[in-house]
Amino acid sequence: MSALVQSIVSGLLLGGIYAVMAVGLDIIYGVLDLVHMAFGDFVMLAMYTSFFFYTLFGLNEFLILFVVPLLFLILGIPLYYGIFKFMIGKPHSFHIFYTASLSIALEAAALIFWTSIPRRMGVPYAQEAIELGSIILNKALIIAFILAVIITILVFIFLFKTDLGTLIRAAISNRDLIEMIGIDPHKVYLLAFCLGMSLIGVGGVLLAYYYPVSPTVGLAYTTYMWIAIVIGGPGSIVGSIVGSCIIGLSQTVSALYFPVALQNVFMLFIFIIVLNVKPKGLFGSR
Amino acid sequence: MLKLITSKRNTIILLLGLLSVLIPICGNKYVIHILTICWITAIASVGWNICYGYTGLLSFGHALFFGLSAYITLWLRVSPLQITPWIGIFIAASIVGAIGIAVAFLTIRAKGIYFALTTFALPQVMLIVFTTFWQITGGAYGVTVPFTEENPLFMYFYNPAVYYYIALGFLTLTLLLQMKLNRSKLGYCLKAIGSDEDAASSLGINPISTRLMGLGVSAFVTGLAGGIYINFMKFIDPYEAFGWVRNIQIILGAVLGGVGSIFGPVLGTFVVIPLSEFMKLTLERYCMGLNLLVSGLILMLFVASVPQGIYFYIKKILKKYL
Repeated sequence: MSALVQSIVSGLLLGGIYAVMAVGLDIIYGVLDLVHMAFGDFVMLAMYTSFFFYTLFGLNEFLILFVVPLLFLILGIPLYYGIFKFMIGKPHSFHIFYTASLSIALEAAALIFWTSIPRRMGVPYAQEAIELGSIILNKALIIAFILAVIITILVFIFLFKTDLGTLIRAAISNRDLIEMIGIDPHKVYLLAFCLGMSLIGVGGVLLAYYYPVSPTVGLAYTTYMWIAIVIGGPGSIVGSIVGSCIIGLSQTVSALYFPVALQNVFMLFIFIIVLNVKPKGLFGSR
Repeated sequence: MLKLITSKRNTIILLLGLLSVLIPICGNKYVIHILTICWITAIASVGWNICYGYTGLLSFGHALFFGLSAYITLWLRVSPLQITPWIGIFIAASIVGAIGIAVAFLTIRAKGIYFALTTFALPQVMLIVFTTFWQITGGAYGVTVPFTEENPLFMYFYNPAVYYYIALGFLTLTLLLQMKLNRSKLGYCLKAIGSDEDAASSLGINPISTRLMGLGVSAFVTGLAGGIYINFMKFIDPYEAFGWVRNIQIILGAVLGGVGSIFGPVLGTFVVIPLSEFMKLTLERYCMGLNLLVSGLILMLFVASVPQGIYFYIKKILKKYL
């Protein structure tokens, strides 16, 4: 019984960290209508960036949490104008081919610069555990989860309480409306893209607290995040958080009864069931 | 008959066909090897194109059909029944076709990007399953075709040119199949569904059964490629079979060549495979991964500048000057 509780709690912790990135992907997909298959590779880049900030420059791990997202936010501007802007309005299949090639290129670049050896950030408490009653949890995972929750709440406040956030939500629910009320849509797209990029940065840093990084991790994160937001329903911020919790739970709870390697099989099962029962996702309206 | 030959289009096709038949005369084993792989991938690419080019279902799962068919052909060969690959390829392709129908059935309500995502996850899952249950599948070490003497009955030849002609023969077969499909009721139904599903179903076309059949045929053709591949390479492991690279190779040929056309995938594969091999030869010795980086960037440029595919551009140019 306590093993089940243990895996449920750790699944929720994992889901909480995924949620930050899922919200970022949801904003990018919702506002720009952009199918971003190189998403996980940017997460990989963020993990590497935080690894190098931590080991080379000796920055404090909480300081990195501000530096890397800020870096990615600024990086988002040239990336948007250079690579992503001309994709807007083109068919989805084109997005997929284009970003999949980008994903190959990024993965290869990471392989060239940093080799295929997995690297760990090695936060001092990554090996420590906290006992809560009968369950034992990793300290780094808990800290990452708490930070993820705080940041998700901040994003919620931004989206629901500020004018810019309202603009983003308006663009998610109806993109044509933005042009109609006289706002340059590309400014909104840029804002959403940069917000998404900085959330990728946050997710990458938090993942790097606990997980090792190698050039090939990107594909897995792309798959997880897309499945999370499709389960939750694209266009719904709450949905993507629920979706990522389901992904996290399916990974840990299935590992309790079956070989760990098969955890993604269960994720796919849940995905197919949800797609057949509610094709628009659990909270979706589009 | 005379009219058939005098038509410009057929003349070009005939000439290219003749050229591809004559290539093994050059005797360079490396060229023959690369081109054999090229034709095999082209078969898979044609199969993928039946799914995407006709119905608009963007599948990222065709590596699943390719790899499974390769494994099944091999298992049939080493099973106590000792089924020869000449029959085994077709049995495996039929089984894989049935799996394709099952996949279509599972994703029956998924459209557009949802279908792409579901199929995107399938080969990855299969890769995990094949590496986890290594007692049955041979695991990450892969499996090999048992060594025998040169034996035409079991598709075992010493001369690589024979495999070249086998691959070319199967490619011709699939192209003829696709031409037949183009003019058949199923082909028209598939195209109708691809352009507008609601309109098609209002005209009495059953979208569900058409979709199942379409993916079934597509998986069958891709399965043929997998069966030939294992008999040519004599070895397969889960990464070769279900890996991301396999997927990309299958899809890229069709995308670069021209989606929805008959000869586009062949043309595209003829660019993609030799290009990636050339990159591997020239760039990989400087730095591991450099070839992937360059081909990724070239692909981005290609996709951005020739979104329709090479085939249509060549067609346009030929029309201008012929």
